[in-house]
Amino acid sequence: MNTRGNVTRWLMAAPWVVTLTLFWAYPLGHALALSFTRYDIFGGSWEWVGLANFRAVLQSGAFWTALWHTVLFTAGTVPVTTALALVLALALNQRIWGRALFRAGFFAPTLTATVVTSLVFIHLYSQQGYLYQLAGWLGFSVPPQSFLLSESTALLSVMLMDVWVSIGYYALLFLAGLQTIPRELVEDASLHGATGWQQFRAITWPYLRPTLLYALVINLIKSLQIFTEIFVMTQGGPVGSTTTSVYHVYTAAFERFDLGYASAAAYLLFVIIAIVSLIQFKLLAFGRGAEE
Amino acid sequence: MKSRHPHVSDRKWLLYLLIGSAIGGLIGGCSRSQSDKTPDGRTIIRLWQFWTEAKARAVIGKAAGDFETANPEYKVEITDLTWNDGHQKIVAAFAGGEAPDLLELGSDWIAEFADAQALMDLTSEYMQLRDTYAGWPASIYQDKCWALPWYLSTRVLYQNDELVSAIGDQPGHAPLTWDVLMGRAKKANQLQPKIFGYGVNAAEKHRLYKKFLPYLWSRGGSILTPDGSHCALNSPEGAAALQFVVDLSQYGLMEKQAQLDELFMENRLLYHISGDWLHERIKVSGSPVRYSAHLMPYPSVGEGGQISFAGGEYLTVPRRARQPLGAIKLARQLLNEKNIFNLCIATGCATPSHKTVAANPYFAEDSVRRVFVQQLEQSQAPPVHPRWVEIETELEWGVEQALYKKLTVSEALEQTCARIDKILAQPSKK
Amino acid sequence: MALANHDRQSNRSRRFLSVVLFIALLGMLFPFIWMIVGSVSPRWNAGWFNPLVEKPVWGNYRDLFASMPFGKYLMTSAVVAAIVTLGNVVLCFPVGYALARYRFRGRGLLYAAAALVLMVPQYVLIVPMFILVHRLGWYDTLWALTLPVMVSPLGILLIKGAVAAVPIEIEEAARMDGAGPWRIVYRIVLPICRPALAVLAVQVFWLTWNAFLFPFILTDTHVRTLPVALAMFRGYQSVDLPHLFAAATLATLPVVIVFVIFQRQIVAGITAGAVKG
Repeated sequence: MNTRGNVTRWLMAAPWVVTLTLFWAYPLGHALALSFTRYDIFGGSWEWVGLANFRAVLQSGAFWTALWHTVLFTAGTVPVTTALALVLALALNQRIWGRALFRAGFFAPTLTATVVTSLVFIHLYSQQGYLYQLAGWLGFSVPPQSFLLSESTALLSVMLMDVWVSIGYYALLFLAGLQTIPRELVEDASLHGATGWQQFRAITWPYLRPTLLYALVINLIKSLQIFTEIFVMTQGGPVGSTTTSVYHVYTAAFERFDLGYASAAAYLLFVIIAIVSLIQFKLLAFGRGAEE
Repeated sequence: MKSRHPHVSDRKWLLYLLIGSAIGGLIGGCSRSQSDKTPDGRTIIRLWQFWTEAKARAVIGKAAGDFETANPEYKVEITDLTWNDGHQKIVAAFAGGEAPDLLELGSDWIAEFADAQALMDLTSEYMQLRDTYAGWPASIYQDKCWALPWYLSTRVLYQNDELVSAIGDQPGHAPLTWDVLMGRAKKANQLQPKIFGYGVNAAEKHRLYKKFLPYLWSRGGSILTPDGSHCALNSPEGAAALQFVVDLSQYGLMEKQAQLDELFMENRLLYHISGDWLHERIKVSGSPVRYSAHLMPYPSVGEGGQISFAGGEYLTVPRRARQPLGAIKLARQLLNEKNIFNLCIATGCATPSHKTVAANPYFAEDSVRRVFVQQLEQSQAPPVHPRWVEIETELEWGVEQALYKKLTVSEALEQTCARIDKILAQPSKK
Repeated sequence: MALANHDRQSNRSRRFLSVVLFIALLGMLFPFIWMIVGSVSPRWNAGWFNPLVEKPVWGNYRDLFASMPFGKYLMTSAVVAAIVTLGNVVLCFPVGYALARYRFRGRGLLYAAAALVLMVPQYVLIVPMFILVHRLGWYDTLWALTLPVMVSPLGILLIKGAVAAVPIEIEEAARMDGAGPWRIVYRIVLPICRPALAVLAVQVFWLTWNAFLFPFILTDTHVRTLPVALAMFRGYQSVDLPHLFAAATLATLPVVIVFVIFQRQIVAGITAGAVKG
């Protein structure tokens, strides 16, 4: 049974094995190899430089600044998005009129192309834009220029946009998780007079937790790699206040044509993301099989 | 069901994976590059270009079609690059050995590619075309020509004549000196909180420096020393120019290019350095804004120049092009009078590279376009240096630091020069 | 009586919730609405206009199809997204199952590789991917856009988590009834994991529909997808906002419609037949 069992297992895992071997092993390996070389994209020549690229990355102030901005971005968006999406999902789980409409509506921003959303928000954040005027009207002290051009507000503005785009998506995820709760349990509980909070803790939470964990992990991974919005809206400015790690990698690769440095930075970034994800996973995934 | 030797088996599968990918690499290693001929035997010429908007793209397509008709042995394959992301594809292509035959490059990239031995020497073409076209300085590096000027652009000072009347000056009157410019901007800025005197470009790569260099050059300053070995920004001229821009910014607004264009069209901005696209935009949209374009102002009466920024798009032939002769033929086609003219009409360009086309009434009889043509004659291109893009980044950094008052003008110039010197001191990467 | 009061209270609170949600929705949709309005705006900056005074420019939509094979781009995007989504749902499942249930050699490696692909910034992978695609002769073909992403690490991780949450007793019960491994996987475990599959489908569809980087690098004119086509609207120095918004609206609306149609299945996560608790 062992051999047959093993064959079955490998057959089941085969799609991924094949994909890995054919499509990802070479790019991942090539990029890794590049990080140890100085590569001339025009002449095609390369020379082995060992850890020089990694040293250059770690010693470059720009890398750490970018990392800091990335951390700020992630720390700002992930909790906020998750919390708001959770609230939204709980709200959408109720039997209210127009539920389908709401679900589609809140999900719509996620479906719009990032480039388009970014362009729309550039305008909204500018002097003539509605968000700018709204902020002034609400009494916030607005910088004289557009939100995106003021050091103190640029990163915040991009974060706000990211939250706006993502809420609907994570709300959907949570909603799916909430839908797995057997209705009898809920009805049973309200019949016995359990308060909303008690219901949440005893019934909702155990069913929500795996979805929550999944959402947090992918949101984290995605946020640590934020790029397109920065690229379209601020190009890392003003005065470098929105340069994030992947943007740093991008400029190294496609403006300085330094693929070696870029690959080294990318792999270092991977290590950081992996460590953080692992920590998050360990912290939040307390006990497997606790979902009944 | 548990594996007996976990460490050994993981290593074994790692080996299997490596072997597998090596096999995969070998299969691909019989490098099956794209075929050079179409099924009906025509030779393929690959053109990589950036004009993707509908009207401009139609011109390119038609030009390619005309070329194929005149040269039936060729077929033109056009790859569209986007302005923002095109470089990714270019890097991927060069790194992957798939260089096109004819490649459009911006003027700021030519030296880098040329220095890396990535381009073919086009000096022979230059010898034949030098009197027909303008814009050669940006394509000359180490005494050889590497690119053919396709689409030139410069910047002029747009003036909103509505606001000029509002502050009591004569509409259409040029601001001849920096003082006049500053004075008017100040007065306009005080009209209403929503009206601004001067539009300062900020936080936009590859744009900001074009709004600073005119002042630097008019004042007689320069970015690099004549031999290109050191940064020359940290000079009295550089300080004067940067100080002027910083001072101007207090009578104006810092915004992105697109937003400044909008403000100008809404009669909320008096002065704005912009390009020919704004003129085209205003005409196409039928906006009633009253405006005029002017040459850059003199620093002071009788002193300095009215120099602006000149750049553009050029056609290059990569060294690894498979059809260099065909590419040059195609380039000639794209550069002929008819196509240059059509491209200008489609994009609203006011400064065609072809000298005869520039004399066309379409340009000469339009008051704004005339100024552009005039300004181009007094414009300068940035230094043709293989690491210009990095230098440009540092230059923009310095100007931004001064504008955002993070550093004083002298500090900003000093630190910028230090950074630029560091770039210049490093040997070429290749 | 107490029950009736309770009902009236929940009705009230539910109506209140509706109102709050509606306001929130308006706020959320505002940029989206602007995009749609801007697509027919006679203003060059796609700004607001009074439709009673200035006529909407429906021609913008016509222009899209006249100046480029927009329909073809739409079709390509749809085909690619459909293939990749289906592929992922079908193929990720056995992989996720194997990783969750079986201990076999190389399991850790496969798991780590999934994490690696997920967490390495894509930008450094495009050059080698470009080379690989060219060598395989797949440049500007559907193969390039579909095969490498048919089995996504995201899908594998999601399914693994979902399968791991299914109580092992169910499978043991089935095995004792004599069911073979494949039967257990597809007939017993898969239905329980339907919510996760639905989530996977939505996620993969959305990611593929909106993907820009790899489609841009690996294709040219033959297999162009919508995000790449949208990028072409950004001009030399200015963006053609009305046409871009029109294109974006066309790129988004079908997906929204599909979502509205299928949202009950997707969100409800059919769990009929699953053993509870």
